[in-house]
Amino acid sequence: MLRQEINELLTQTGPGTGMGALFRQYWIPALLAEELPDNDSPPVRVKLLSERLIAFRDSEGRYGLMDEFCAHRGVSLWFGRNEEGGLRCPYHGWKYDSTGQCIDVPSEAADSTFCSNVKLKSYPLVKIGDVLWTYMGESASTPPLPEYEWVHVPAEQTFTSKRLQESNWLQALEGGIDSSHVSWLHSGALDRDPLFKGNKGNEYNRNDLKPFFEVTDSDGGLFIGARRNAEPGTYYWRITPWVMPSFTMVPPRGDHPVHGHFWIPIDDENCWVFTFDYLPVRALTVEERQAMIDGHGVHSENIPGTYVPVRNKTNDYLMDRDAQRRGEAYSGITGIALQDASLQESMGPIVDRSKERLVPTDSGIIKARAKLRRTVLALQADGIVPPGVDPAHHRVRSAAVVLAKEESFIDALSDEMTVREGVRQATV
Amino acid sequence: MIAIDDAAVPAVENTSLESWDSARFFRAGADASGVLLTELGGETTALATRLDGVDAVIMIVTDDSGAHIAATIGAACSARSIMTAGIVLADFEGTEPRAAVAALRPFARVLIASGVEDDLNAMLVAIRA
Repeated sequence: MLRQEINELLTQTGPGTGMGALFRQYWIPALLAEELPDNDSPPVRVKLLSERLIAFRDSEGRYGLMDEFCAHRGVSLWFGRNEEGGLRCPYHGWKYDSTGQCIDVPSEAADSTFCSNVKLKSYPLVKIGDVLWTYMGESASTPPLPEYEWVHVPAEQTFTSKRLQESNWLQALEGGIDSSHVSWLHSGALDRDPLFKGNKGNEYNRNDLKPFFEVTDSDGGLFIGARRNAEPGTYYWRITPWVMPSFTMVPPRGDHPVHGHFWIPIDDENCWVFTFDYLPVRALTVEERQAMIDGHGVHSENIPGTYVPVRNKTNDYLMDRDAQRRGEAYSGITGIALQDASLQESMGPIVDRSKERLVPTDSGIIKARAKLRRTVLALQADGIVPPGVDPAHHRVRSAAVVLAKEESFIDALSDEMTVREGVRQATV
Repeated sequence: MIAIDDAAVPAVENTSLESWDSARFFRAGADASGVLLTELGGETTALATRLDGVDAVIMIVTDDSGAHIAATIGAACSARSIMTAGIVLADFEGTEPRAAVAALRPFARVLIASGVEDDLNAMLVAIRA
């Protein structure tokens, strides 16, 4: 369980909240680059950390992220005209540049300086990889840009998708650091999904349903190791890194691409799940990329033109009881992403953690919550820069390896858990 | 919750000051008869006696001095199918307690290798101890 006041501290991310202040220390994914494909393409509504914003790409290719509403009468600038170096409100023609600065108020005299005193709240928006990143904190404290490996490998080696999840961000994150559910919830997918099947690690997963866990701090968050019995005298280890505030990587399987997530609060009851697959040393094959586009692996099949999953709570995620009985889908839901999301959304928008009954094997979740709480309080009390802000903290990898029983993953895998350019991921 | 070595005792004592439903707090020791558990502020009894009816044991270590005790407790818990966890308090100066960790690893279904005192409280709250 978690005391109610701590649950509120960790789940509320709007302006003026403790966790909101923490998220505002980081560069976070705001939207996919594909959402603003061209100069002067239509603006996009973006809600992040309970702030309603508008994103656009001007005639010169500059990205802007600013208050959604015109300073004049509060019209949504989603209706705006994106043209000639700015976004113009269609109501009375007020125009804003990519920094939110008003650059034209047509009703004022030609030589008026009125518009120079009008500026919408805005945040930087930077393209790195397939993602547009923003920093929503104080500009004087802007940290260096993110250095996650998945957005820095060549384009042919990486793929990113996005989906809506109708739950608080913490419920989603906690699924990402809970390694023990894989052998149950995703058991059907291990043999069938084109991005999961056909590797030795799946056998170890299936053959030992009671993993042991070791959790240790990293510079940016945690490493969570789950070990299962392998051949005599050895353990199969799966190492999941969590980088604060909400980046997780799934341990790899065979030569399949490595995947992971960034869990970003939209508001307190919804979040965006940015999902990636990449390979450090080779291009994705045509078949792998198509499988991701089709929603296999940890990606989702979305309603065309949206980031809303086809399988969602309005249609009970297209539950298939026959597939459940046949063992093709342990929960009856097709697709790994929605297998997770369906259960996490079923908890309600913000689960009441005061009613939980955790067990020690939930230690990754317990430790992450405790670390988040301590970090929020240290930021509030002393302004301490939190883990995960330094780009060096981003250069981590997940790993899946077989070690002798007497070996500690912390000692044995320090290289494998670190980004090494030109070196393949550690995988079984 | 058992303090395996002397330096772990203050953290366990501090945690014991909170209000708990059923958690009990001990420091471990040993004599010729085997491992003994002394309840904080209470009596000393044999390990086997204390494990009756227990559903989870959390061992707290800071150094290697109690490695053999940790191994004995871990084995006893394993034989009784008692969920066992280990927390290594990392905010102590000195060398990493490798022997104690190695002793815990075969038995502790959960091992927190870089614990802080606050983790003791968080763990007990989480499992409704």
